[in-house]
Amino acid sequence: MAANDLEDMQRRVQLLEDERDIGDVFSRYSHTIDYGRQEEWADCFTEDGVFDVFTVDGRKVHKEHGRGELFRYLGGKKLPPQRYDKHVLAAPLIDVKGSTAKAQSYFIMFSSVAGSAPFIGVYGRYKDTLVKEGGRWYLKERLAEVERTPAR
Amino acid sequence: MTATIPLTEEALAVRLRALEDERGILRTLHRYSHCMDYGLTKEWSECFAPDGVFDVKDLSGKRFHRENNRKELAAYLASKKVPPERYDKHIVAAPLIEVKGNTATATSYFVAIGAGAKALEIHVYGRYEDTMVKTGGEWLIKERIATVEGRMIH
Repeated sequence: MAANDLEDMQRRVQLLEDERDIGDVFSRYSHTIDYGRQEEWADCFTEDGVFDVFTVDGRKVHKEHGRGELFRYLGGKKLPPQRYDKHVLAAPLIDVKGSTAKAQSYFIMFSSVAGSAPFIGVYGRYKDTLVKEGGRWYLKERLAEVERTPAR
Repeated sequence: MTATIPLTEEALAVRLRALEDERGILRTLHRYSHCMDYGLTKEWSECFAPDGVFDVKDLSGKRFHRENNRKELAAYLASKKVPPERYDKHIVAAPLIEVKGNTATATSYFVAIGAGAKALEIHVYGRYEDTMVKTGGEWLIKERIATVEGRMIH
């Protein structure tokens, strides 16, 4: 097998590893937001990362710019043991190009508030831009398109 | 790593290909959901082989619908309510994928979530039994048997 075959394999392994690592960012995001780990959640984003939440008809829900704002946003949320949420990310379509990536996926949030019966609180679609810095993937921008909530 | 697996470039290439095949199949399963849920008729039908089958039944074997090729598949999706009129989410979970060369089988769970009159709800769930084929480097659904196990009835 020629040397360039090894190089080709290395490139292909790198792609699989990048997709796996981006999947880990998504899981870490969910665990840290659902259990109120503010610093770790903000650290899923780049220093200047953006979290922009809006409805499909264009109504702004909230927007944070930078880890400081992200940290404060999560600090203002109801968390365990008052409220247990599960942000479930599904159907990720990840496209890696070198040290940047785009991803589109579903989110569904299951909730229980003060011991209530579980319910689906919201669902929609994430559109993410990610960057790899120092060997680690971060969310540069997460657009969260809210498609349905119980009130809508 | 066990001593029985030879550490050769050829053996590594085979193992890498197996991981890439599973990744390619998963990507098709997810692409199917995105295309269906946003009414991308042509793209959804192209998740299937040209003669791909989509067969949806309940546990008793009663058929809800069956499509036998891309044209019928596209017509089926075109008849469904899609965004912005209706937002559904088809979620695939617990995929068990078995690859054999250029064919594969995959058994997985599906859950479809949507908006009811008062709450967001699980509309339907069940199991997909898929036969996949690799064509031109891309994994396509040759046959998807969807067995509906639970369904919201309004």
